[in-house]
Amino acid sequence: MPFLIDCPNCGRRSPYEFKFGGECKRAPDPGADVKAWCDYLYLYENMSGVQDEWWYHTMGCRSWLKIRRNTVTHEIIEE
Amino acid sequence: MAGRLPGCATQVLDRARPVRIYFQGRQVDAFEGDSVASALLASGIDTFSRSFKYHRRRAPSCLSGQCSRCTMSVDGRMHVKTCQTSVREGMSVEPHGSVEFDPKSLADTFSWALPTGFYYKYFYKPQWFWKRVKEVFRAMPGNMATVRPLAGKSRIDAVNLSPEMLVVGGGLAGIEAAITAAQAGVRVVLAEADGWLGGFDAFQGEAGHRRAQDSIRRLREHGNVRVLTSTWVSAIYPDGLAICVQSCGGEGPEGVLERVFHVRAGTTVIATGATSVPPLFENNDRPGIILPEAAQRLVHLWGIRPGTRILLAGGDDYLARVGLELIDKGIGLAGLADYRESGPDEALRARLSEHGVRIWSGYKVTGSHGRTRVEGATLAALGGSDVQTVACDTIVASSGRYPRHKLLGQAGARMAYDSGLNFYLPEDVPRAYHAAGRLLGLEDPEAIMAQGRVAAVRALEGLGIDVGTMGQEARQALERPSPLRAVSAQPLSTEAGKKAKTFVCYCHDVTEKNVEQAVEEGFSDIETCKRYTTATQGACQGGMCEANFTHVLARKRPELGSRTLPTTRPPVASISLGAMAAGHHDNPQLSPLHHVQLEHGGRPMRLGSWIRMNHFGDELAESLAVHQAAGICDVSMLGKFRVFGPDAKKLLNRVMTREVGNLAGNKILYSSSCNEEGILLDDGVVLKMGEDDYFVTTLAGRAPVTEEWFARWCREEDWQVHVVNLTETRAGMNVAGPKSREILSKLTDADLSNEAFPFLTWARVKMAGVDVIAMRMGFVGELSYELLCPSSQAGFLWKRILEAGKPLGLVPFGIECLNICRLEKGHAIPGLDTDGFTNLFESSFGWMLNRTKTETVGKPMLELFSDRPLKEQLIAFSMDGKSPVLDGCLVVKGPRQLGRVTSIRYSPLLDKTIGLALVEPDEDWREGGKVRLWLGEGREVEAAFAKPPFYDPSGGRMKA
Repeated sequence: MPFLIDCPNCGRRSPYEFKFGGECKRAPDPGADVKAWCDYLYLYENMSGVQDEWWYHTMGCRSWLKIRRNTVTHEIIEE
Repeated sequence: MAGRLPGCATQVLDRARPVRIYFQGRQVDAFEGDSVASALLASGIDTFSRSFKYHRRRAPSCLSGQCSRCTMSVDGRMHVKTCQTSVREGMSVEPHGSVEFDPKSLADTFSWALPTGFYYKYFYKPQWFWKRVKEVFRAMPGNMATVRPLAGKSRIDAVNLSPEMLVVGGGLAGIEAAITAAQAGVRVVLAEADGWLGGFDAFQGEAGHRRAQDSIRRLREHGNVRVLTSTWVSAIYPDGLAICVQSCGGEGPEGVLERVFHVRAGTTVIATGATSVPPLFENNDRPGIILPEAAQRLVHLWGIRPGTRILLAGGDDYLARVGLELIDKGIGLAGLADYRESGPDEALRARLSEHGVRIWSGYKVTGSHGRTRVEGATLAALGGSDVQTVACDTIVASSGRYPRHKLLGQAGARMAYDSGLNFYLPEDVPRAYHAAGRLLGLEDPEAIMAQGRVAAVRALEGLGIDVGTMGQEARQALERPSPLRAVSAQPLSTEAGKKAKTFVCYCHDVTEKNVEQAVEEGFSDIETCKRYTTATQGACQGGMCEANFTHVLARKRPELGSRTLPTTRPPVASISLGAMAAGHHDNPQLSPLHHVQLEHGGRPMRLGSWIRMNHFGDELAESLAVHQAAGICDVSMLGKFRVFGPDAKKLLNRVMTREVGNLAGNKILYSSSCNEEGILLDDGVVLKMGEDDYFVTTLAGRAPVTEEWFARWCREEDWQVHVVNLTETRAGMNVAGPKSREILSKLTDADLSNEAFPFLTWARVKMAGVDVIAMRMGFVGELSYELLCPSSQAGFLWKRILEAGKPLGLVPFGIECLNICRLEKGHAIPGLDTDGFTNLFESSFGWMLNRTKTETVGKPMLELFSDRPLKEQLIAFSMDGKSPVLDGCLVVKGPRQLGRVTSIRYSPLLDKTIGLALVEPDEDWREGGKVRLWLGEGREVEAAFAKPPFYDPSGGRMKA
């Protein structure tokens, strides 16, 4: 399958129109320690498989989209 | 090789339309439908290029765009495959360098001095020597064009397509697959490398031609198939993107040379076919030695005699069939050498003998001779000692068949060697890809067509499309007994002498001996051997040499067992840089004040995504005018946003380092923003326009990023907040200078006095009848008003202000002057004077961090940094008079590099060169310290460390 992102505003578009916004994860509390913050900022799951991630439609409607993608096959899993 | 055959149905020529092209200035007559290579071959030109290392004569061997031997410059474009380029009236064709007389061909005689990896072995000592001669060596390789800028800009288009199915290859299998998918009602893109459809069958004589035409006719009945001819699919990437490059030969009024299709198909059928493997024997690279497909293409497509006395050599029945086709056309044969004891098939043998063709069964060719092209060949009995010499002017030879598997490999399939068939077959083909046709070793046209249909049915089923009864019918057709796969011949060992040249790789002149030597030196793995010898790494990307290369390697290292192919990577064949860049359309933004500034002498320049005025003739005079009278500058490229809604404050407090909640009345809040790592991103101002209604500005040109940033920080919240990007709707102009109040007062009734409208406040005023938001800011260090007005009225207002200011000395100024004035004040610009590693504290903006607010993005990391020593800091320095130092110059201390100059300008007001530098902390960064700037070649200049501002330290002038 080709890797196309189904944008709710613009339809199925090439990923080249988007900016990858990283894995979906929650920031630690503001007061958390250095380790928690460094883990959050610099350590990625780098998942080989299905993950939730953010994409920003730079060359389209300029919305943030959350998608679930298989990083190996680029298959997008509809929820 | 001169001369054309009579016309017939299989030919792609239009003999009624002659075309003239020019080869080295000499006129060559051709017909519409000719390729450049076929036109040159028909006119008797033998040498197309000189080889890479030994400068040997080379001529096309495949005529199907796979080898790199026919490349020349066409109409100024370099390294064009002439066999894939259609002739056009007046076309100018030039070989790369001198091909008829090439003194560098001496390298052929001294080849013993150029063993494998000679550049690793020789080119390092003595160092002084190689430093001097390396340029000489760089100029040595053959078939290299001299880079010349094209007269006109080459036009290369890009198109995005996302059909349900992509079919690569327009042969019988590909066409059947496309028809099947079209019948199922899906959109199909069919890409074919040749300028016509039919694939292998297009040049299989009249029977093949009829088959192909029948298929093409049935394909044309379907409107949902987009056929792209002259299109190479050069890559398939893991995300399913296929890059298809179509050569258009300058079609249309815009003269489009190439069109790049970025195809993202739901499923892909790969039917790229198979190709003959070049033969292995001594001097197997001579002009006149061609593959059987090339001979068929010449005869059937372009009506060209490959030669008058042709020797056929190989080990399968295909060659015998080609021989009969040549006889049919009245072309003389020197004979057929078949390495199999049993020779060709009984029936074929009988028919060849009928025509008096001499057949040597159990013989192979061991070498060719001749001067500028083949004049004869040596044959040797495989088992015995008999050696014979045959006179011939062309050798049509192959070492068997090889699948064109590169795209399949890029898609993720593995090719496994089948020793029964002497052929590589795909394994582990990924889900969305399906192989079909001769690529799978099929020979029988019926089987190929049936299998194309089956591949399409499987592909459609994979997409979840109901194919009805088509699936069953297709599978039944395939089950009909038919000789599915023919056994291919295989390359033979040559046992040639030490000095013999049996070429494995033609692009880089790698011989069989070179490969063997590399193995002896320990480079026995296919991947290391390939890199060491550079075989398969030339312009053909292994298309011509991979089979022989793996064969030679496997013979030398039988203990390695099964044959593996090297990894295939994009591109399949050479691709122009223009094709890679296609689709990127530069679209700079113009300020609403762009044209009015041009009228006033503005000198435009590109800065980020905007075109801005660099200056209006003299930036130094402009800066003096700003200090002594007044100036006006376009600042429309500042990002401008309205942020409103009950939760607007929450969003702003998150992205801004300062507290927004305390903002009241007509005060201006100057703030910065950071990312989560505490890195400084932006600075700008916040105005409170009403309850929960804010107006925010950001750095020039940053509006798109800011918009993304704002959206990013509320994407997971259910806040009621709207962010409206007003950047293009509002123009901005900065009127600065001691006389600016006097000038603007002429245009408004509003009270602009310092008491009514003090520094760092804003007001809504009507200026020359235009609604303006005026802000008192101090970026250039003088009394100044930043005016924001509707874009549509900006030009009018600009003209009125200039009119009013002219008697008082007002001048327009550009960004050069803006830079001089802001450096006099020591103002840093985030992203220019800081970089992606500079945090808020290191960038001199640390004072803007509100310590009590917890929600600020980046605050937790900044808290952690706050009690640690800085890793870098922004310092200011000055030098008397003008200085040659430019932005980006290094700051050094002895042998150490401490940082770099981020901005530096000469200030005519101070008669000093002043600048900012981003440097490591050092004890010299104190009053009286020296900043050493490196000019290169051991030259340094010294500047004095300084504490900004350099001008008006109390700020009295801007607050006046």
